[in-house]
Amino acid sequence: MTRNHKPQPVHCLLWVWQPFCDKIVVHLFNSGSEIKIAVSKRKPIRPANKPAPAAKGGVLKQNGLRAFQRNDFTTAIKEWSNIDVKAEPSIGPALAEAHFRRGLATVDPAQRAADLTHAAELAPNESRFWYHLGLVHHRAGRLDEARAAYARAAAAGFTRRPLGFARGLAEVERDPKRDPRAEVGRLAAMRAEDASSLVPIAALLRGEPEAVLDTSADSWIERLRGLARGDALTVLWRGLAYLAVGDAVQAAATLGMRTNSTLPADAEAVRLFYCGLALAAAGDRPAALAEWSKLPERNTFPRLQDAVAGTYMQQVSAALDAGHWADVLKATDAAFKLTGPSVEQPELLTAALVAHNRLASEAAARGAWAEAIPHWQHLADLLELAPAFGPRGPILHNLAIAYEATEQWGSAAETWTSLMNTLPRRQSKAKGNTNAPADRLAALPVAEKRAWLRRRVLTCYQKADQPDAAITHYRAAVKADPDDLDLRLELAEALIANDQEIAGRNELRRILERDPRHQGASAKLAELHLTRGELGEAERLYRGALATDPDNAAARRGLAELLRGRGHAQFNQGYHAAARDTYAAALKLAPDDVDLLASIGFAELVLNNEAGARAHFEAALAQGTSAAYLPVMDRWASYRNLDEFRAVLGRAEAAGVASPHFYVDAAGMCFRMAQPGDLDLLPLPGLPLKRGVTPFKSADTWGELGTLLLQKVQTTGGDRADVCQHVVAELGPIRPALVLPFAEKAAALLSDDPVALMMLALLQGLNDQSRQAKETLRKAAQLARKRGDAEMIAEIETLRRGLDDPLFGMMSRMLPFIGDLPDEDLF
Amino acid sequence: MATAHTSLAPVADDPYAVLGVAPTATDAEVKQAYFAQVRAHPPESDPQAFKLIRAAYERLRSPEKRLEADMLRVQAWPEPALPAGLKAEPVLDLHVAAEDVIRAARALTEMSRRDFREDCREIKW
Repeated sequence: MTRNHKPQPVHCLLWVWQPFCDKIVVHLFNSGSEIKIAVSKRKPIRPANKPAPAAKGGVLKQNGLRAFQRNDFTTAIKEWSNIDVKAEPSIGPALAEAHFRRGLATVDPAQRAADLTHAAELAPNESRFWYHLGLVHHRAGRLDEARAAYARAAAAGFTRRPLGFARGLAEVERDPKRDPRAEVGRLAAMRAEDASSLVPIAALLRGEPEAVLDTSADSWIERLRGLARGDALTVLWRGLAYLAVGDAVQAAATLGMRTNSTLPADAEAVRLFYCGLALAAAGDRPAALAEWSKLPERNTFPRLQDAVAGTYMQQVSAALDAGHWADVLKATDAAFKLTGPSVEQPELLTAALVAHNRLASEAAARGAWAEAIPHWQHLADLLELAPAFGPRGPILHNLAIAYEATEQWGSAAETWTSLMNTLPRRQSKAKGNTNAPADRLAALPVAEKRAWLRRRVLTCYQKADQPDAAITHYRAAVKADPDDLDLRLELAEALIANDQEIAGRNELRRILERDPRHQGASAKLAELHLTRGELGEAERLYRGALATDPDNAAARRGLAELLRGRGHAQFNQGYHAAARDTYAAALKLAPDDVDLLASIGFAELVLNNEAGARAHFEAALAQGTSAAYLPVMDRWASYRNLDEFRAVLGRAEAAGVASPHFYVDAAGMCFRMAQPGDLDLLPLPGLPLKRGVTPFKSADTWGELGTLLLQKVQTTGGDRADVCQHVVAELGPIRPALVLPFAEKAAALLSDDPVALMMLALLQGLNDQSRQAKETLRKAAQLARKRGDAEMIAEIETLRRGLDDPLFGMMSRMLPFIGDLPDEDLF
Repeated sequence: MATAHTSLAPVADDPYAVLGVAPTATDAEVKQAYFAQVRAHPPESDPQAFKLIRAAYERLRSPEKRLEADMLRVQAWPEPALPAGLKAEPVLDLHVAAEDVIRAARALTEMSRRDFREDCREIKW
């Protein structure tokens, strides 16, 4: 026993039994070092399961047999190869059989040849091994090896008939000049009928087809006819011979003959190909096409493409000359149906491309987009196969436009994406002059084009109601280019738009991790905080973005919005001066914001600074749009100054900005200021006069003015669906009786729109016409069902149930008293 | 050599066609064409035409809108020239290839056969 270690704590102990040495070694491991201790000496030990040589041979033999019997020839060969053949003579033939069987089973020609060679070497007297080895060599074109193997098979006494024909064929292939009939008797196993079968083959191979057509009494035909498949073979060889002598008509007739027997698959394929060729040469294109279409593996005839192209070329050429594009496609489609489009046939391919392009362009010029789509689709497919024939981009571009025109939004999105994928990842050249290039789109910077396409893809997916697809599209793009922060921003926006705010927020943070000054991301994140009421965080982000770039439009807009909200809060709490200052700070960020100008003016009014108020109101009105007049009118209304309201209204009318929509909004302001007792119902032109109500001459109250304005709406836009819908949405909750005729008009104008009917039903319900309301909802449900819109059907049902609710009736009676209730609380 | 076949959407949908300018026109040329068209079709005498002209100009007025208009315009595809072979008299190659004769002949042997049960032997010890 040896000890070569210091005493240390042992962390691991491993016993290792080493059977062929004289030691048992104990490995002790501690703190990374290994200590070996030899603890005993023993005599060499033989493993208990290692059999003696004789016994081992028996096991291998049995294991091999079992494997052989379950067709596992590889294992059988492995087991038997370990047995000494001298000691066990029966192993040699078994091993040969295993190689033979594995050789027959494999599809790998090299493996098959190796196994059969091995088998034949192990059992040289087995004729079948040599025969099959001959077939393998023959098939591979190794004619000398095949002939030698066939000879060994014949010599070893192979008796099956096919040997004679195969052996003769190998001889004929090697030297077609030799007369097969002379080989009978010289070549063992070859018989007279084999020779008869080989005569036409040899004649065709040596280029003497006339010999095949010889019908003299002693010709091969007479002898062949009596053989199995004789008539089918006669037809084949004679048909080929006719073609070889240039008689296409006779060849077509012969090769097309019905026979009592059938040919093997490969021979039948040859017959079909040449029959088609003969028919095409004889001028019968449809029959040729029919024959070729029966070919199972057309790519095994390389000449087929040329033959098909040659057959259709004249037809295509004539149609092209005449400008008959549909006929061009008829011919090229027929050809492609057989051989598939190929760059090897540039004539047909080009003709098809041009024809598709012309037909698509003509259809598009007529606005027949649905007609153009299949042509552009085919064109795009052909160009994918043959990119050298033209750029695919314009075709994908046009196809996407056509899909959009036919409202196939999903397909449009996919096609725009395909177009995007054809663009280079980065601009290869300096940005071109986009003002006057030869081709504006071609000169457009790739990044700009890509950005447009991304937005378009997203829009299309949104229109297709496939936001998930849009997000998938962005995620793939981000994965491909993780440093494209603008792309990440678009992904974030798509996520947020798809109600995946947390994921969107995370994406925005990832952008800011990479670029803390990224303007779009910080503005978007601030906007998210703003919508959640996290004003402090939103303001911090906006101010941070503006500190980096004072012109950041999104941050300016966002901060102005935030300050507007704060100003309103201050105003409502009575801090009018603070509100004014906050509005003024917001105005610095959004100097053209008329609502802010009006808000400052209103604060000044409340602060008794009428001059200051008027100055701000005038600054707003100076912008001259209807959007400028309305906020000022709104503030005068809130200040309950009917005269000033009327004055601004008059100025708007004089400036020509008073549209029907303007009047709707103005009427809404008036009715909100009107007292409940103000509900004088001025009859509207074309509407029935309500019994007992006397029309008044002037608008001395808010209610009167509101009614007068509604009359103007009726006069200027009462026959427009959009105006009627605006009236319903704006005034329905506060003046349901006045608005009902507008709802009826909107429903009549939009007779196939279930939403218009739902709004009418709601108004009918508010006017205590629940029976009519239910009938209207029934019609709406019918339309929704026709559209297959399950969500809308559910909404209609909810509304129908709501009409039966006692609360609904109570609310309708209270509406005039709760005139300023926000619309969304009612609709 | 490629030849460009110009394909256009319906004229009313194509702002360039309405204004009578090439899609490659500069912004100044577009503006000039707009004024010329307005002079030719004043709103008071030809309000329909003016409406079309105005709408077309609106689509080309700013770079963003013009990009949109350009991207939503049918593009011309440069057609490849037709190969000379198309005009030639088609020639069918009718010769009987030796490899096809051999292919048919070999089909008459057992080369393609899969099942050779009769040639297999079982092993018995």
